[in-house]
Amino acid sequence: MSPTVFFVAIVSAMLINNVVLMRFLGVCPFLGVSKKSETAIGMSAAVMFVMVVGSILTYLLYYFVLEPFEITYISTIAFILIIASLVQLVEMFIKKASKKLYKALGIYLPLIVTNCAILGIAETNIREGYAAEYGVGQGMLVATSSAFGAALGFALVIFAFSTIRERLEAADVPTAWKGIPISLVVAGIMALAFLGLEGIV
Amino acid sequence: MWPAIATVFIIIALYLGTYLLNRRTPQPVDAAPSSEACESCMNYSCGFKQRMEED
Repeated sequence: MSPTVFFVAIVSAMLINNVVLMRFLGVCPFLGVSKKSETAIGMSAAVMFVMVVGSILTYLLYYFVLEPFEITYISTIAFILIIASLVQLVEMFIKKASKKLYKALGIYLPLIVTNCAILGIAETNIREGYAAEYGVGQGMLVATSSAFGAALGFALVIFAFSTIRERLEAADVPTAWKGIPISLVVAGIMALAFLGLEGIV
Repeated sequence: MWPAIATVFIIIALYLGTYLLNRRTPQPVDAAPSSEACESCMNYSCGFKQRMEED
C-alpha cells in the first residue's frame, strides 16, 4: 500500500472535509471553548487523543463484533458508549499518571463525551468503506490516518478561531454584533475560505 | 436480537465499570482544574461548570 494513501487521508480530513467548517460537527466546543487560545489548545489536544483512539476502538468493534453478529444497526449507541468509556479510562489514567497533564486536560475530558465530531468521525470511517477497499487491517490504518487528520483540522480551525476572537475582544464592534453574532460571521468567512481548498487532493 | 441485547448490556457494563473506577480514583493533590478555563467556556451542561457555579 502506497504511503500516499495515508497522506491523502490526512490532508483530505484536515483541510478539504474539515470536520467543523465543512461537516458542521463539533460546533459546540468550536464556539464554546474558543474564547482564549490556551483553552483552545487544551481542548484540541484532548480531542486529538480521544478521536484517534476512539476511531480505532469503534472500527474494531464494528468489524469484529457488530458485523459478524449482523447487529450493525446498534452501531451508534455502541459507539457512544465506547467513546464515553474511553474518556473515563483516559481521565482515570491521567489522574494516576500525570498531575501536570490532568491539570491541563482534565477540564476538557468531560466535554469530549458531548462532542459529536468524535462520533461523526467514527461513523464516517465505517461509511467510507475503507475495509472493503483496503481490507480490515489496512483499512484500519487508513481510518486512523483520517481520524488523525480530522483531529488536526479541528485543532487548526479552533486555534485560528480563538486567536481571531481574542483580537475581536479589542475591536470596536457595534453592540448588537458583540460576542456570538460577530463570531458566527467570522466562522462563516472561515468556512468560505476553506471552500477554496476543495479540489487540492 | 439476543446478540444485540447482549452487546449493549456488555458495553453499558463496561461504561459503568470505567465510570465507577474513575470516580473512585482520587484527584491528584493541588491539581484541581483552574476556573479560568471555565470562564471562557459556554458549555453549561458540563459538570465542572455546574460545580463551580455552586461553589
